Amino acid sequence: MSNRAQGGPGNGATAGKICQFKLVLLGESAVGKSSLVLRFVKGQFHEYQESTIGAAFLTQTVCLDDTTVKFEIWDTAGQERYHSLAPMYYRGAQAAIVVYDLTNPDTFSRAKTWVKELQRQASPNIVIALAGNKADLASKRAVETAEAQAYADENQLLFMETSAKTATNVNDIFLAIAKKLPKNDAANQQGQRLNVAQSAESNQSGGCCK
Amino acid sequence: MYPTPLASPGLSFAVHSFLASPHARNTCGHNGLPLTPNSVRILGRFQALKKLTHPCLATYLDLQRGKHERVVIVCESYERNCQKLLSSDKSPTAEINSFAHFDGSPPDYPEVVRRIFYESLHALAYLHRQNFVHHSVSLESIQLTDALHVKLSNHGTYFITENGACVPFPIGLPKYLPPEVLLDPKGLHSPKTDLWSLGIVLLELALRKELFNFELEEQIALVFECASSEKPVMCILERHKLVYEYLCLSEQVRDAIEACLSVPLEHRPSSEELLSHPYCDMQIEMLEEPPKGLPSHELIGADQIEECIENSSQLPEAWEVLNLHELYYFWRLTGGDALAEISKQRDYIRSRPAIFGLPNLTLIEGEDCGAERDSSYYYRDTYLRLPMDSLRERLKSVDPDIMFISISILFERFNFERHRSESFTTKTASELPLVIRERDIEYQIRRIFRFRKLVELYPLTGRAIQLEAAIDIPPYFRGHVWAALLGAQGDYHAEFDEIDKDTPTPMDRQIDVDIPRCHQYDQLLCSPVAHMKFRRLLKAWVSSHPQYVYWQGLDSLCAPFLSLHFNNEALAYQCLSRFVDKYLHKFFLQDNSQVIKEYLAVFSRLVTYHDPVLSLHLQKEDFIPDLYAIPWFLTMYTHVFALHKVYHLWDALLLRGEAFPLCVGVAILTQLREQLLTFGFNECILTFTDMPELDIERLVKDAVDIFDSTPQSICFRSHSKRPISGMTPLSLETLREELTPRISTDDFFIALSAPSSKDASGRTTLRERVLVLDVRPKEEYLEGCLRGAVNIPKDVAFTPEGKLASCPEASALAAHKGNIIVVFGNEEDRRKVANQLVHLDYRHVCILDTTVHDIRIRMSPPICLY
Ligand SMILES: Nc1nc2c(ncn2[C@@H]2O[C@H](COP(=O)(O)OP(=O)(O)OP(=O)(O)O)[C@@H](O)[C@H]2O)c(=O)[nH]1
Ligand SMILES: [Mg+2]
Repeated sequence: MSNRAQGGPGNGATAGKICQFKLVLLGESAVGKSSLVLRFVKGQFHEYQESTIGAAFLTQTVCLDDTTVKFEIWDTAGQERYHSLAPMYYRGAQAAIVVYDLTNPDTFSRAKTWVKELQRQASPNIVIALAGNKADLASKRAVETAEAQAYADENQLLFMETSAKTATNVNDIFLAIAKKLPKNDAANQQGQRLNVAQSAESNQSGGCCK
Repeated sequence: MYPTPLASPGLSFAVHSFLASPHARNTCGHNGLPLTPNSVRILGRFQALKKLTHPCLATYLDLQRGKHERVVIVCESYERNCQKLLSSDKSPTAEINSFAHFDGSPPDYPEVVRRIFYESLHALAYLHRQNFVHHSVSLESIQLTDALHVKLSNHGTYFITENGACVPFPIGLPKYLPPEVLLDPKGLHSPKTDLWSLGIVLLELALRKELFNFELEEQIALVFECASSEKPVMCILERHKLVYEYLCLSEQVRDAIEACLSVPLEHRPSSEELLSHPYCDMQIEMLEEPPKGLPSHELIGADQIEECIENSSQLPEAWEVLNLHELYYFWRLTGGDALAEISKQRDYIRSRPAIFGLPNLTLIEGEDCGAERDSSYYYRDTYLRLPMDSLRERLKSVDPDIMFISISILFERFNFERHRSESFTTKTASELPLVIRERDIEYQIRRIFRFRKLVELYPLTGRAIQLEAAIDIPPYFRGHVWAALLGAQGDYHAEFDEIDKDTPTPMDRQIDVDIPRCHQYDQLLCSPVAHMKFRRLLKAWVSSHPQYVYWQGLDSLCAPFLSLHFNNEALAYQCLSRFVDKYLHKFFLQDNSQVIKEYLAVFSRLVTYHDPVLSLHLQKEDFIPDLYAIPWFLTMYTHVFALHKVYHLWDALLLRGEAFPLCVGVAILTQLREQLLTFGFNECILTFTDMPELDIERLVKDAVDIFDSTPQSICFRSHSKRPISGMTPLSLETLREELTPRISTDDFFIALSAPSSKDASGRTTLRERVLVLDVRPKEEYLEGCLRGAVNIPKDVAFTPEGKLASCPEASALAAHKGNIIVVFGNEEDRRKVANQLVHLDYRHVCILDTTVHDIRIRMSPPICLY
């Protein structure tokens, strides 16, 4: 696949800097967050991918020129009720992918809400990417590319239409994020662990383990 | 000597098999996911057939999927059928006399025909009442038992194939199908289709001759000719030159035949109407009496109990009560394998080398053209009888006492000493690994016999079921036993019927996206029928629990109950609802954060209590349960383990209280302990992203041990269904700050008074010695203390490095390491000491949950130990 050519995952770290970044995936349930991560990390697609409860954690390394970028990925649960868990994961994250399902316009509105929340509450220089997933279902498309692109431009988001199923643009979107992330910031060199105790107290809305 | 059903030498299990239509490659459904294979759709619908019970219907037992969309159906089968009767070299009468057993003199042939007709019609009426259309009634489908009763077969094919939509062949033979069906083969066909077919069958039987023995086109032409004729039967008779023979038949028969062979549907009687035809005026005992034995998929209601007890005191013959489903279960345990039997028959699955099936042209959409159709795609009405000898032999050698014993345990008044050899074998066998026991026929026969009576007489036998289930639960009865353990009873059908399962709600989208992701590796649960049932159960639960909401994860909780009670949604619902109530009280509140946080904090403290080293390591790594254990508890492990593991885990869970799931969590961590201790945060969390392969039997055993050795109050939660009274509810902050759990005074005194002893079975009980560590200042201690308490005042307890200060009391404490240490004192002091003990790797440290003031009354003057 063409997107592998420029140094997809698993190319092995060579000499040079190693950076670690925390990345969080957000978006309505069943838009394909877990599927995107699984495609990126293991190169697989499971039709019957299990739903995510709470959150799942995975890591993957990509090589960018002379830098090795290690992503620590938090794949969150999409159901609105689990919303209150989200701050625990996006706080301290350097990057976020907000995912919607391009066959379902409601998930696009939900994505916009996530973007707003990130802009307000996440760290100010967080890199946000918008992914319109399930691009393989072209005949069922309900969100136009132009519309999403315009929204992304307006908000300075990276934007791609992806398909976890066919692998289209999956590595690309992660690579694009890796490129945009600052590589010389000392704080990034060993990555930050999420500070649960702190974030736990600061969210007052209801739900599971705020 | 066996009475029914094994008594009949003509009975065996048989398979028949066909190929479901394959989907074209790479075709997807509307959601972009691959289409459900037709064989899976069929499997889902098949389950409903197992529920059908009518004395004149052959029982459907099992459906298995083979390669290439092959469907293999196992059902009850008899050697004889009406077709063989007519095609035999002998006259039909002679043929009948050659196999049938009669009390008294054999009935004359027209009487036999009348009975066959009546019984078949009775069976059809039963099917029609439940909205099944047979669609394949033929001479061959009417099987005959040795007592010359009807066992109608093949009645499920039309239904399971979604009226033929899932298979590449038409269902039913054209010569038996009415004109309206032949005209519109894909349409929705009325139950009256079967009446026409039965009319043809009756005509053939009465004339003692198979009709339509000519080319297919001619057969169809003849049916169409009937369609335009005043009197269709005459068309057929003229064509066969049988008018004279027909006119010699009795008027009643002819009238019944002609009623069936009416072309306009409104003139053709329904099965129910035809039953009141004078030709059907007969009495057959078997049809009036309900069948003996346990209904195969029901838990009985309270009203039937009395009757059951009366019957059971007559000690029926063991084999009389085994139904076909149980026999089939045993058949499989003796090594029976329907798929393997079928593939042994080379000519049954005749497959051509794949190269001959290559298409001439493949369209870009994936459709193939020009491939010659493999003849294995045609329907073959052949039944392959399965070997039954080893089952018969096996059952013959079973100790007849089993039946007797299984009943005696029910009645205290028959409180016999259990048969010695029996209890011996059961005991030794129950020490074998569970997976072996579950496949051991000898052992399962004993267990099933023990349980079937218990289950039949539930709810009277609730206690006995618990006792037996503690040994193990035979998989065959797992669904029933679980229902009993959860206390399901009452009119749960009516209750379920009343719940609104259909009105759309905002929750629907989430439910709909979750179901196709829930335990879909399971063939049954991924069928459309299962999805529909999932949806109804979840919606029913949500709508009848207005105080709760749907959280992702409830779907997983539903899965084990659905798969065990696939044919009894009401019971599945009842179990789900009771289960959530008992183990997940308040978990599904809209705002469940306090409940879950408390649960996780209690869990952390339990880990500390049992394994301080591991617990501190995980805390140091910030690897907190909030990050990994929510799916464990919220779904009671159904989201993290496959169903076969959940079964064994829940077998143990359902016998125990609310604290058991916490103990399972501890057991998981301890099973992975060695790795976790070497892992940093990332590796730890990655370990649980996909639950690693765990030895489930060991896990259950560890969890049970942990549960047994943990005083109840250690797992106290203020949000539990019935919080232990007298315990101080703690804030989340305190729960986190105070590393060790608290013990109630009641538990404390129990622990104190119970000497470590051996229980009846010879196992040492898990009670440990208890040491009271009094951390108050010396003066207070000397005023009075708990008997046997060791006093190490908080201020002098530890060296600046945090080690235990050296003093005789400290040595006593050190000598006690590993046993229960109950810390007693003032709020702040006891917490500091207890936490420090944890850092010194002391296990089983807990804080006595009482104030100094309250306990004064129970104190005795100090006893100097050293
Ligand atoms: N056709 C198609 N289906 C996809 C794609 N990505 C995911 N899916 C399907 O969409 C469904 C949901 O995917 P998940 O990855 O579980 O969605 P999620 O966003 O993680 O959902 P939650 O865990 O509930 O938040 C699954 O059945 C996937 O197979 C895609 O690119 N194309
Ligand atoms: Mg997910």
